[in-house]
Amino acid sequence: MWSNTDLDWLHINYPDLERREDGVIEGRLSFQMLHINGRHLIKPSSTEVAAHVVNGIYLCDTYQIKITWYEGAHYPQVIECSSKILKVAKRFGIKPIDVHLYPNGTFCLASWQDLIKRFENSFSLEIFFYEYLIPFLFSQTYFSIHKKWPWGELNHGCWGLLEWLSRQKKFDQKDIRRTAFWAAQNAGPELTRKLFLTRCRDHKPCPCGSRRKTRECHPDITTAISLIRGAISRGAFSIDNLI
Amino acid sequence: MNKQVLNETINKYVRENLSPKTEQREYISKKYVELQGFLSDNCFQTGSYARFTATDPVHDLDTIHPSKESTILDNPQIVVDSLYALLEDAYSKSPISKIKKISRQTHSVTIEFADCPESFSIDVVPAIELSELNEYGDPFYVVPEILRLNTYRRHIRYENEKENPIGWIKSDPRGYIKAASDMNDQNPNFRYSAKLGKKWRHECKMAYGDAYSFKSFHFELMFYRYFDENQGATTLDAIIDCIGQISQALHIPQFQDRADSNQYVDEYVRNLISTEKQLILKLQAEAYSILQKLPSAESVEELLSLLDNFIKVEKQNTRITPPAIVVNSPRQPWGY
Repeated sequence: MWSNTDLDWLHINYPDLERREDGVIEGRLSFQMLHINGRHLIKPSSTEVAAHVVNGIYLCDTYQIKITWYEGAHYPQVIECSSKILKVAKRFGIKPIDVHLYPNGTFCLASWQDLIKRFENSFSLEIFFYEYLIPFLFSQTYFSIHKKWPWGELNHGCWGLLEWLSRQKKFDQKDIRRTAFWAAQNAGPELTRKLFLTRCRDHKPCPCGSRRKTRECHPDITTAISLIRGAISRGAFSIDNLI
Repeated sequence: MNKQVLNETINKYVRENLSPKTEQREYISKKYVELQGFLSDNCFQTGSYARFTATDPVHDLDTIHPSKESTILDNPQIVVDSLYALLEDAYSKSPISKIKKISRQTHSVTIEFADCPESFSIDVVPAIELSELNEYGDPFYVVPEILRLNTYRRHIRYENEKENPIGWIKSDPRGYIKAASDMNDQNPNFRYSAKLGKKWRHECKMAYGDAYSFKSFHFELMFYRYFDENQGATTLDAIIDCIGQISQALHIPQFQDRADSNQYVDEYVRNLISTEKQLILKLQAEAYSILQKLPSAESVEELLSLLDNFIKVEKQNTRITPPAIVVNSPRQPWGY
């Protein structure tokens, strides 16, 4: 659960968000963010905005949100109360999942492995806001204008989990194990066997069954699959453990 | 301070400091009544004054004169010339008004008054009423084409005039007035927040002149859309959100013209050059950082001081803002 330090930080930085008696944080989150060369600048100064406006993306916006921390979770869940994101999905004729909302309306801020990895040892509301929540809302605002995500997205389901691992510059055995486990949970026994017992190659048909080549369908999954297959062959875990 | 007190204080600030004063409204009414007399009651107010979003001091009043004698086959310049002749003659004999200058523009006639402590002028645009009605049952008009172009496009248009003579273009001035008026009846915070925002924009324009290219009417439409989407919104919420949304407004045109859905009121954003965008967003970022402090104001004095600071825009601004929080490695959103 959030600490007093978290709540003090929240009060100073986002006074429109308040902690209710039941522990839920609710209110308006107004953010200001500049995205430039793969970096985020939260609350950029006017000089920074002016300097990077040509080669960066600068956006401000406000969302009415509710942040709830369920017992036993490593990090809180966020929901939007004003349906701004859902309206964008409706306007573009796409499903809520395609604007990265779970069926219960909570935000898919990042892949599970990413969030767990960041917060398994300690939680900080500041990190949660600056690394996940505000960039997520920034990308929603950008999407509402351009109908594309400013720095890409992960595919849904097990494909996104595998993509996350493939796209990591640094990872450890724990990341491989977690990805394998959650991808298996998501894919089910049959697809898990197909994914991790067969060699996945760029020029071969994609394991998702689209009949397209993997490099044209889910190009970023091959690295993750080889890493997981390597771990299985080393005996780090078995397919039976996963399913 | 609770939100209701905050909102009421902001509205009071706008009423007392930014709304046109009673004497000025009376002065404008007097001038308008005189003009109506000259034009046989065949004119109506348009622009921000008619939409109740003008700020103090009002420097100009936009009016439209639907000409009964002209048709769209007539050259707009000739229609302007005849309007100019009529008004020049009428004002030269006026027992009420002292005129500084009356001039013929390419699309209108401008009367500058010498009897106003602040500079004040009335712009009269000739128009032709169409039989087609808008959603409110009011007629559409055609106005001289050049009126709807920005300075740069006007210049280009003048150069092409010989090959393609300047004509008329469809417009819906009554539709914009009615929409703003209805919105104001629904939620008066629309008027207060639009005035506050437009005052800030005006100060930016005063400080930077033509280098500042963000349009007032574009900004007003952003407030209109905000209240349309957020019924019951407060002035506080609206001013923060609409100033914030300037960052989104420069990407692509978003506001279709009421009279022609193929045209955008904010079409000019496509032609903004990088230095113009830099200036608009620099001033937006400064204003936004001040406005974000409004919800946590603990006293009326603190709130008023923040509002004063917000609308005080100076060139070579040396406001010191803290460095940004830099976060690496953006996360890609996922969904199971």
